[in-house]
Amino acid sequence: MPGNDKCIKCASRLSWIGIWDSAFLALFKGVIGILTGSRALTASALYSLHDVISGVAVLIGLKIATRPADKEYPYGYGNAEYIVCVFTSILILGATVFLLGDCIRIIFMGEHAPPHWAALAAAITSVAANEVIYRFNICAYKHMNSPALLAHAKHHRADVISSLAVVVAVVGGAMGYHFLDVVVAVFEAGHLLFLSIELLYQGGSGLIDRAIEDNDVSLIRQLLSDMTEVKEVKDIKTRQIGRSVWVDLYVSLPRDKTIAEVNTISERIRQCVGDRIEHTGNVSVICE
Amino acid sequence: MIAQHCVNCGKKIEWLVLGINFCLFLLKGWFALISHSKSLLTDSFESLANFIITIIVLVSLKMASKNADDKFPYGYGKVEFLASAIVNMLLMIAAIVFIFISFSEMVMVGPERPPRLIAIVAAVVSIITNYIAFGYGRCVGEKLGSSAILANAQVSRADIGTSVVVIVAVVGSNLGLSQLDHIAAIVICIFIIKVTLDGVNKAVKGLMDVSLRAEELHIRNLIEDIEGIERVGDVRARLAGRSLLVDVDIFLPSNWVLSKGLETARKIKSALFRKMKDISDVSVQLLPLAAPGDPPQNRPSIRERKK
Repeated sequence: MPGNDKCIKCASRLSWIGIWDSAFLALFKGVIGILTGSRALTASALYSLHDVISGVAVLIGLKIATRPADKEYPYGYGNAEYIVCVFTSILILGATVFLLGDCIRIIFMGEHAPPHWAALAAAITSVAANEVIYRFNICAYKHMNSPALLAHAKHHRADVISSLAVVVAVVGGAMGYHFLDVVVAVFEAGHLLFLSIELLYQGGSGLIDRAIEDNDVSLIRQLLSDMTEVKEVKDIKTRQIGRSVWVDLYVSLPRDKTIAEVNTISERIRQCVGDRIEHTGNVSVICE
Repeated sequence: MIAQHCVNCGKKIEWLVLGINFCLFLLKGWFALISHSKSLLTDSFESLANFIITIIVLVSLKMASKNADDKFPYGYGKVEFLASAIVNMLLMIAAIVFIFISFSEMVMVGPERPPRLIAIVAAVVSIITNYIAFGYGRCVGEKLGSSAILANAQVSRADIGTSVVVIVAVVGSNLGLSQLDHIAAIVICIFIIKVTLDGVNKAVKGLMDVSLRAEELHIRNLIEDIEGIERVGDVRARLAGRSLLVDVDIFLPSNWVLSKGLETARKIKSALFRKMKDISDVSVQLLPLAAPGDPPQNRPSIRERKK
């Protein structure tokens, strides 16, 4: 793996630092947003909350979901990650809809007082903190080439932009453009709505046993048909249990082979599929 | 032998309970408004909650019956669990919000005019209809051996409890215990939270593919005696909505030819499909029994294989 020890240490800490940073900002911006009546800042707080949750879901995926299967959960714990995604995305969805409703109420009821300067301070803190974390993530990403770190970095960049929008809204409000706060809030809430529905869909479809990518299924099919012993591939069923991929292969093999020989072939198939598909949890070879 | 009229009852009962809950929601909601009883209002919310849950279950059953396709090769059965988890969670949040509202009214508004006694009428109607629904549901559930119908009957019986709480609260607050109506509303909310938590728990277990001990044992017993099977390895069953997906590993003598093994697999399938009607799919993996002295052969490890 590229990168020196210092980088590896830095990268392993970054996800935790990112989560604590976002959690602190979510609380800070949320409280100040509600107290000062700045809807834009409240929306920005929900943004940070979204980051906390996706970060925690990833950590749960790494901790609980890789726990090996046992008597209680014979198919492993992978789905815990999806369940966290579904529940938390519903919470964010609820909060966002509530906020949007509030914004619409303000728009129709008319005048809205300019938010307090405290909102500005909170927004600037958020810009600075997220920018720092973003820089760290990008640095670690460049040295380690990990897509997860890039995703983290992008989250924090999005946070910087959302907080900058709040700064504009508060300053604009002070200059007399009171509507700016609500406009920024509506935009951010709209984007959040989109993000949380995406999260909900990801978690939900994973729980309903979504198959892996079509490309990977065709790759497995190709691997199997390249084997001379395999007469026919009847069916390939795959599902994702959190991070691991479970595969059921329905194949027909020559009928005059003994069970021991069949087992050797199956073992080779398992090895082959396990080598080519990332994170295979279990491969069953079922003769038909 | 199940009598034909019991089967007919089984088909009707879900719709009947649905209708009862909706009527009770309207009746209790209306009486709550004219009698100003907070506890009756939460009680009507509970009927609404039951109504919504039943509707979601019926709708998701329709969706779940959709055939498996490329995107979801194991079918859509789990939609039922997912829908139930989400709905129960939303209702739980609503109950928590209700508790906060009741608390703040209790503290900020202080003693109010007690609710009018007319609220009792709605509560009594609710008790009687729920009792009928419970008795009916228990009869059908026991005759058909359906745990889903029996569980629904339990919900109807639990609703009797909340309506009794309403009567106590309305009478008590008219006798001078002014806060009793608010307290009863909170008690009913806590009750709703418990019921919805159970619902979430059940759905999450289904989504996590929790082990089905009783079914797995039953399957093991059914196939153990089939000729030629040396040992039954792992038996795993998981629920996709109301149907069971079964994975079985069996150990056969290692010198058998495959065609004999396939014959055994077919016997296993037909035995399981015949005896357990909930099973929708069985996958049989054939493994050779290790010769004495060989290291024991187990199912390929479940552990994640890193690239």
